[in-house]
Amino acid sequence: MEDKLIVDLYWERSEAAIAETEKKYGKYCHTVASRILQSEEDVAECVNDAYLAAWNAIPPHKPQKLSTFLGKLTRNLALNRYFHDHAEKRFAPTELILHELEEVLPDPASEDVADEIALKDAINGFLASLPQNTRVIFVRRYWHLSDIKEIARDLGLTAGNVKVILHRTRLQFKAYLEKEGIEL
Amino acid sequence: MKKEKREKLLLSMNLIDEKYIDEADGKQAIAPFNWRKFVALAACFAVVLVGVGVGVGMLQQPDEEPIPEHLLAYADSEYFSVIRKLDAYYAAQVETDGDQFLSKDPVDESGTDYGITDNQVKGVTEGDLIQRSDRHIFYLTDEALNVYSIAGEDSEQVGSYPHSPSVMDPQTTVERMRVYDAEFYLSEDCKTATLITVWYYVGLRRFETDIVSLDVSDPTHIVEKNIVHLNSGYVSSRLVDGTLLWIGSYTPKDTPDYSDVTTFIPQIETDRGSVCVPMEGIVAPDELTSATYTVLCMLDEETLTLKDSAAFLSYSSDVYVSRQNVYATRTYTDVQSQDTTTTTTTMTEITGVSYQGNALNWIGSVSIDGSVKDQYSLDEHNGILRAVTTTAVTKAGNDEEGRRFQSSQTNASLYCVNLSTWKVIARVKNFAPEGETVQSVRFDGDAAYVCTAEVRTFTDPVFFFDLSDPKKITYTDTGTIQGYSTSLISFGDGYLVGIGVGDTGDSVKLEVYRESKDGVESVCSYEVDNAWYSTDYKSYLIDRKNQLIGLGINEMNYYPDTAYYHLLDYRDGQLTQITKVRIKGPTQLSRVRSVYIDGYFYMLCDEQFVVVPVDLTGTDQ
Repeated sequence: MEDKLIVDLYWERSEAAIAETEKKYGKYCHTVASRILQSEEDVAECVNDAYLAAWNAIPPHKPQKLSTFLGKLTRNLALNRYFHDHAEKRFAPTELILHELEEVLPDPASEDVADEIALKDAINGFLASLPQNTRVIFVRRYWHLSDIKEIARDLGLTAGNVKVILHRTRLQFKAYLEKEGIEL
Repeated sequence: MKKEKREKLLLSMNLIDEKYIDEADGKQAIAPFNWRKFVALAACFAVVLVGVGVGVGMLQQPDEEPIPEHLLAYADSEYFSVIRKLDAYYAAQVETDGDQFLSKDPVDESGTDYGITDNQVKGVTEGDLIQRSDRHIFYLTDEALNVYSIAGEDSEQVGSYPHSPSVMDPQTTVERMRVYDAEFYLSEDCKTATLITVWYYVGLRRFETDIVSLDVSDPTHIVEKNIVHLNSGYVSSRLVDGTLLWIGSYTPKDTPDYSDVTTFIPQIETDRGSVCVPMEGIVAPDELTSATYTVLCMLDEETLTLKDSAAFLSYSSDVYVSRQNVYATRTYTDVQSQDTTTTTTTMTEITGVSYQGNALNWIGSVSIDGSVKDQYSLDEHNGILRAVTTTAVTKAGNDEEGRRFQSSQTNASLYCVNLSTWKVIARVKNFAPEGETVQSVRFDGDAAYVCTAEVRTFTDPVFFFDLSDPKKITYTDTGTIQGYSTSLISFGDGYLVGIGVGDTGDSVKLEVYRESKDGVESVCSYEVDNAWYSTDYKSYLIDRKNQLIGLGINEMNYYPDTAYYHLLDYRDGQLTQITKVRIKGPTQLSRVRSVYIDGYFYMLCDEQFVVVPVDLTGTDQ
């Protein structure tokens, strides 16, 4: 079923909305959540929470692309759960991504407070400046939370290439944030 | 600290624009740029362009209107074109009954109620998250019905009726979670609150509704009185003279067991047992376009005794309730084929059900072109049902050269239906610029205001219709205005406020319009850049007496911790911000409610309760 029709079902408050969402995007949401959460039970719960969050958000939202909307919801719910429930013990893949991002944190000497508007502009401005391949690799890694091997396979590169590209891009991102005066 | 910062950075990746997320959401390798292929394609494209330029000039598709249902029987007649013209001529004439509409004194059936909620129809109360008595404000959160004293800066919470956000259903042992669709009513004597709670059954993926009657005569000790359970999700409700009209949505299982009516018929469960909607109460077209019922129940407000029930199968959730009738709508497509051309027209069937007395009675149906946007697109006034629709006609077929074509047209139309005969007695078809759709409608007695827009370009005109004489409907408009309004609010004396978006779609814009002899003109506006808002009408404060308008605005981002409530007053031709209150988040702007009482502005949103002194004499706070 087309996204527009599914969104119409939400607006009509029809229960079929969730059934159709699950039919079309259940596997996708499951994939997004399972990249962050370890236990299958947590993943299933997170996906159910995402459906409910979508129900509560639509209306008033009218997402153009449901996959991105649901992906964002699922990602955030999964990350929040991960940070809340696993403060001490970390799921290795997510911990690795967090560790990579340490490189991006500016030096503690800077005292500027991050503004979310400026941060959004900075992130998207930075992404716009990148070559497409590099941008796709960056977003796949830090938004889709994809595995490096998966990214390499999908883009026809070696894992080593992807790692180098990510490393260089992170350094560029750090420099960009510092130039924009943004600290987290 | 470092750990929190990197977590924040990972979460902040949510700020990435959707276009980049979509770009990266693929499995294909990105191929290197192929110059030879590009040159070859460019050459082919140039040839095609020339060919199309020649072909377009030869396409002359007649502007055909779809055949009305009552004329289909004559479609094969050699005199059909004459029949059609005569029919259109007679249809444009007002029935003789029309004269009595003109001689009646106008009855104000639309406008405000005296409560906080700006009800569409006076005397037909709509459920909301907020109600008030002379001494208390009642507000419904996801966790509880909270009660606050009205005491200016000394206001405080004095009572609460709590729910649990997620419970195990004792009967099914299935986890159920409450959703945000709850609303409640407060009786005229302020002693009874009728609470409507919607539950989502995790795993079963099913919605059900509880209606609970509470004794709130002592807000510090709220007691449950009665409860009714329905196996349907909640759409809306109304309270009229002690009768609760509950409107829900029920979808049977994909493979119902027809030997068990509970698998395909909506049911109502009271303390006296479970009943199904009776067969005589079910309205359904010959051909279904969906398996969803819009369910209607009449209950006594005090006892929650079921008086009657009905269901509309294959109908949408756009329901309008007047002082006497409930109107349910069903959108479908009418497909006509002629030669090699197929014309698909969006149509809406409106069915009326009277709720007078203790029974629901079907009163009639009519089909009109187009689809309604919401409840505000319909209005009953002096025995006439008025409706504004977005019309959509798609034509597809083969042209004279045998080439495939498809074209779509959208526009807006207004219809007047005589409720004695259920016939269309007047219509204004396609009054908007081609390609525009209805964004908001407001009926106000003999007037109608309609905002249409070409959404992609974020522009709109606002139309004003004079419906005082159905024989001579006239209209004027503002011309093209930047931005468009998703809600139109009549402020009286010919003034109208539009709430919507600005010219880039990234700002929230409020605009005041005034009806003048030259048309509808914009008086002033208030705009917040890089922002969005809730289109839930009930989340707006509309205080005509004090000339106040309020709404929550999220100044950036999907998860708002930079949301503010803007309180504006309209005075001396200006919209001026009086105060701006931070809304603590994350929250949904649709849940914000507020009220102005005796020099104080009270704002509530989930657990947040804010009281701000406000001076309306002209000085800023």
